[in-house]
Amino acid sequence: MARKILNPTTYAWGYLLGLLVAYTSVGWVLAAYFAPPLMWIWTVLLIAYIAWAGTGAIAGAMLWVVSVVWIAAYTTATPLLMNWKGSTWAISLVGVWIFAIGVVLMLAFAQSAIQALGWSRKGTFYRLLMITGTGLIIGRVLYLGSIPTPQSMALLYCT
Amino acid sequence: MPQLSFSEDSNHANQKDQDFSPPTYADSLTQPMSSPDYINQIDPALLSHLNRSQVQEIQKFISQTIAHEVNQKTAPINANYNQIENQASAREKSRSKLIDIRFVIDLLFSRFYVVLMVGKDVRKDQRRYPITRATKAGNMIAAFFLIVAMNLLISAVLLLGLYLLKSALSIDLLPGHFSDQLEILKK
Repeated sequence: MARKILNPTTYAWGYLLGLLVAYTSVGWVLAAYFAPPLMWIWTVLLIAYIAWAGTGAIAGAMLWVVSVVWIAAYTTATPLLMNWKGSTWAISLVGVWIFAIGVVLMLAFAQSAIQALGWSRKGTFYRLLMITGTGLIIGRVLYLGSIPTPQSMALLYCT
Repeated sequence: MPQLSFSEDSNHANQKDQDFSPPTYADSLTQPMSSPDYINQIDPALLSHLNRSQVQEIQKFISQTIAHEVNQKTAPINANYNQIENQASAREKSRSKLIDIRFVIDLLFSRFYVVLMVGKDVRKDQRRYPITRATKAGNMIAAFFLIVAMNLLISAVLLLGLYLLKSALSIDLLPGHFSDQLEILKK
């Protein structure tokens, strides 16, 4: 519907912008959960796989998402500053699960969404990798920038 | 009615017009004829003895005979056509599956397609191509592992979903987290 109303090129650029925002959120979430370096590496590898294989990578990526959420459930992973427990923790994990499925599907369908730009498969792959990688870095930097310092925490406690 | 062919040369056409004669039996073998054409095959001397109603009756009889012959000749063709139509509609019906999932798994070094279909079995005959025992055994093993893998994946998704739902509703079936229970079981 959106494609019919919008110019295909505008739609493609908008899609890429959405992808950048979505992967900025992924970087933010991973940083918030203090994901270990191995998780970051695996996430980047998975992104590269989806960016190259497109919709053919959905099955494999879903397997990865389920595994990660299982690990998170087993270790009762929660954002370090929040320390959610009980129902809040479960709802947050369901939210992360749905969000992860969403970003995987978004990246998987990116190839067909940005066809109007006329990029080659290799070109599309490198650009998608660049955009998502930039998003992850921005997300992490934003999170680290938003971490309250001991001074601000003390101020928050006092007020 | 037999048609005359006209060439571009007008002189030649006139010549043809002059040479025109009623169609003969030989013509009827190569060109379609109607009942008046058949009437013309009757000896003119004999035809002159027949009155108008007799000629009309003969024409009617010839028309009915032609229609009957045409029906008999085209009956097998019509039957075949109906059979093909029925097969096509049956195939169309069989195509509408209850479940029809098709997707591709890209493993970078190779691409595989997965098709899962559930529908009414309409196959009446055996498969036309022969399947060797080795192929059958291979298919069985592959199907077994695929079903087990799919079962595990679906179970993992369902269990995780149900566990998170239970936790979201603050239902505690066992004290502590499930990982604590697993640790106790290990000991």
